[in-house]
Amino acid sequence: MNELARGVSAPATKKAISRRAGLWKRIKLQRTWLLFLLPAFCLVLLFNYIPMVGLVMAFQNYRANLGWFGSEFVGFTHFRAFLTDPEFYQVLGNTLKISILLLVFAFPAPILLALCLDNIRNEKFKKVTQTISYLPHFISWVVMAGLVYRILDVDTGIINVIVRALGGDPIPFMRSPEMFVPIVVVVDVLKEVGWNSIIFLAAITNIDPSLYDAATVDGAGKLKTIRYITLPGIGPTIGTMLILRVGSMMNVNFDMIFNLRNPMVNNVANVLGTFVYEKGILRGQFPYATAVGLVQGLVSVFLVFFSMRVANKVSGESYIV
Amino acid sequence: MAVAIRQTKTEKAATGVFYLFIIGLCIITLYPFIYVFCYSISDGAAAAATVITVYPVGPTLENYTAVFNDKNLVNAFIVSVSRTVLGTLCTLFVTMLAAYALSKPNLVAKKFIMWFFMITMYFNAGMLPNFVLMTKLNLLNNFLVYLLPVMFSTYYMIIFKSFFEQIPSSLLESAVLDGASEFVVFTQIVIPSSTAVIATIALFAGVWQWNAYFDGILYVSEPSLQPLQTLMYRILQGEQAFSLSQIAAAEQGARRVTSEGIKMSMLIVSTVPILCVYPFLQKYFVKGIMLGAVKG
Repeated sequence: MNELARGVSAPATKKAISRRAGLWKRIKLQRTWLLFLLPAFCLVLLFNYIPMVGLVMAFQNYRANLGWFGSEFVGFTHFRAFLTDPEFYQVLGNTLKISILLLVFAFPAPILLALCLDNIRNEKFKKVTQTISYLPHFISWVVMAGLVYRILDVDTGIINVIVRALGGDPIPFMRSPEMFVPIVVVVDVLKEVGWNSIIFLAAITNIDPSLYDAATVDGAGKLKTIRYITLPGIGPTIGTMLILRVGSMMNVNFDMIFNLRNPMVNNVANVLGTFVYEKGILRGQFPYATAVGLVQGLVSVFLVFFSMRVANKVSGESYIV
Repeated sequence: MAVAIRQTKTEKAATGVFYLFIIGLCIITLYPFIYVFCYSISDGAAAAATVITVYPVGPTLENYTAVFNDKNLVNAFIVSVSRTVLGTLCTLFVTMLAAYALSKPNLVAKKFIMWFFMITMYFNAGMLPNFVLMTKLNLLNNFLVYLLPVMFSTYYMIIFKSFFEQIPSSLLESAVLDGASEFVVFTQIVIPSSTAVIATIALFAGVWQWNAYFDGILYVSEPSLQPLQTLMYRILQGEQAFSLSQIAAAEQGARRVTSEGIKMSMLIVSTVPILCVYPFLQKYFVKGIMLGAVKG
């Protein structure tokens, strides 16, 4: 007998032997599979779980030479410190503001694009435009920010050239705090709209075609079909994606902000992620930054699981394994 | 046909709006790349003085010559290529092996192992504990810091797993009955029958590696170990100037090369490899993202 066949028959004979012996036998039979799992298991243990031990820093006067196990414990001092820090509330406000604006403007964009693409009959046109729309998703935020800074340059950027041609005064886009958030929203939409439309297009193709035929027979036009067939058809997908998005409210895309910001707009651009980086890495306040990161992480987990519960109820599908 | 005949004026207008919307989006998406490309092949002094729209002024390749003659940039390019090739191979290998084991319905402690991996998708300790760990592991200023932490990805594992689950188990079992070892089954049957998903994940992992810049900022201070994106970040933020020889050349020469021109050529150089890859894998990754979204 070979390993695999015995591995399969193991559960059947499990009742005959005692539970522990059965488990041991299965481990022995499946040792190759477990060996396959070993590298991944060790890597996750080392790079994902061991850092969780490091969260004790948030409760310590952490000293690098004393480490996680030797540093003095100070309870919730660092949590109190950031909860009474006005800068923290400014950063939290920035984070929520950008999240909410992205939810309002960046979330519906791919749905709109998917609806447009679905109504295009020219397959070649559709394929080429889709390829173009995926491009920015694959471009790094470093490059993306480089493009944005060039296009919006106050002297030679193309947008200001147009503004000047129309008789206006050049706008210092990247240096004005009030422009930062709108720029972030537009750039985020452009970068991900094509990519995010994939999931909605997939949902549209899953709609029962007979519904469309029936609508056509009834004389419904394109707009009515979209309103009464397509949108309700992808309603569960929209709802699910929306709820999952709410779950990540606390995490504004770090790379986006990190690359687009500059010192002139720091008051509006500093979000939780960049705040943790600045306090912890640049200014060396490890415990303070760890405490902020920990609270952010816990709130995110809570939001994600809460929203998944809602998503499961709404769609009736399981989004957690 | 019936639909075409019944099309009213509003219908036609709607179709027109759909086309316009998509064309507009494509233009806005592509234009920055065209503009930056034109800037990069323009005469530096002229580019600063005149307006570039959709064609270059005083076309020249000198910006590119400057980029490819800069030792730091060439070195960073080599680091990026190395981490992309090695990183992608390592990620594929480790993740696929784990996904194959987890695709077995009767695997011991499967539920526990799945949760063990899944939790990392929702919670991570954050920047500071990770930084301390890397310090303790002696991974600062070490090329391995680009590979080890991302060698396994739960997200990719889930996509692989759902693909492997579709391979008929009779196929695998008969191979085992013929005396093939599990590893042979994996390399001779599983891998050849999942080229589509491998291409997708190779694209995702490769693009991730190519675009990664923050690990270079956080963990690497040694200039010779910087990947291209990290170096570009530093140059764009004005933290790092080009090498002296280059600036001297730019000052002395006919001022055809400017730092802005070099920056733009740099952006193009780092984008070209991606442009060469992703359009050809489109039909695969569209499937991949759908699997990931539904199962994840």
